[in-house]
Amino acid sequence: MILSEQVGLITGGASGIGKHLVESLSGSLRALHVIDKNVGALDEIATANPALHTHTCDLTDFEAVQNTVRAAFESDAPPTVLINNAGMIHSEPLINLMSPDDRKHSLDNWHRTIDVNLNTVFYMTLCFADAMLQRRLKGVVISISSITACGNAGQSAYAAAKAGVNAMTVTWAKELGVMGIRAAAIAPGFINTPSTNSALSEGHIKHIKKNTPLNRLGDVEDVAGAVRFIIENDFFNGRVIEIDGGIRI
Amino acid sequence: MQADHQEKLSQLLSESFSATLSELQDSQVLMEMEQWDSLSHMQFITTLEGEFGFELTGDEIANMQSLGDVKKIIEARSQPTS
Repeated sequence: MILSEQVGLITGGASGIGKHLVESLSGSLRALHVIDKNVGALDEIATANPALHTHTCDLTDFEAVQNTVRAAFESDAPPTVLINNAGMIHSEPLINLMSPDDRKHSLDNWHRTIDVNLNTVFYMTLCFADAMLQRRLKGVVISISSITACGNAGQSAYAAAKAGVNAMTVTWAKELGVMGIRAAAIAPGFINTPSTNSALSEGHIKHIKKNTPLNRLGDVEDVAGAVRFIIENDFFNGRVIEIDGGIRI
Repeated sequence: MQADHQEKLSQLLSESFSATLSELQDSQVLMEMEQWDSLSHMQFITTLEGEFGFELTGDEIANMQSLGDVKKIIEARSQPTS
């Protein structure tokens, strides 16, 4: 696919890696729809780049997702590339021995993490694929996964959600490929973002860098490069690209 | 239905659903065929488009329920335009 002819639709595009992807991709794509639930952050990026199509939406609300995707497809720039970026990291051990009163992983946190990281990807892709097939458009679904999808201590819910994203990616590649819609995922390792730096201590980041063969955190542009590759390579389908500097968790 | 269209459709049904055109009634609902599943249906649609040289709309795909519907669409789409 020719990058400059595509219209993107990115979730969670007003902050973190999503915001950088918006900044990096908006100049290369024909148009870009940005979905986020944070109205203030969305207004900020819209002010900085008035060409963006912005949509406020809580992705855990299926009806809201349906309405937002419909609005994007009924605009003068119907999308052909979906980037499922929205999500939230949650770390919590299965059993917390240090918390004798309630040692078990919170069920609320489990459901919330699955909802935000897995269900939203399903909702978005469901509505996007339906609209694409109805219009007979060809395109690609790119989901941002994580290297924790293979299992990571202290992240039962997050790892399970991301493993689910990988499984759905392979499934969609098989189901939708024949109709010209590809599916792929990107599994970033530790990327240098404000959220990584606030979630992890300085000592932990030092430890990660030491265990990464390239001795550094990833840059958000490394992820943007993978997005471009997936869009442009028409034979790339059903695979997960790991952007992790070679670290193994 | 033209003989060459008949032949192409027969071939497609055989490849997609292991079915023979002569054994099927126009009222045959595609979803009720023994070898039907959603993937073989998509494959059938894209192969049909390739063989007959047109692209179906989303609505045409949704309305293509029976073998008779398929034949009608092929005939309609194959009419020479003036």
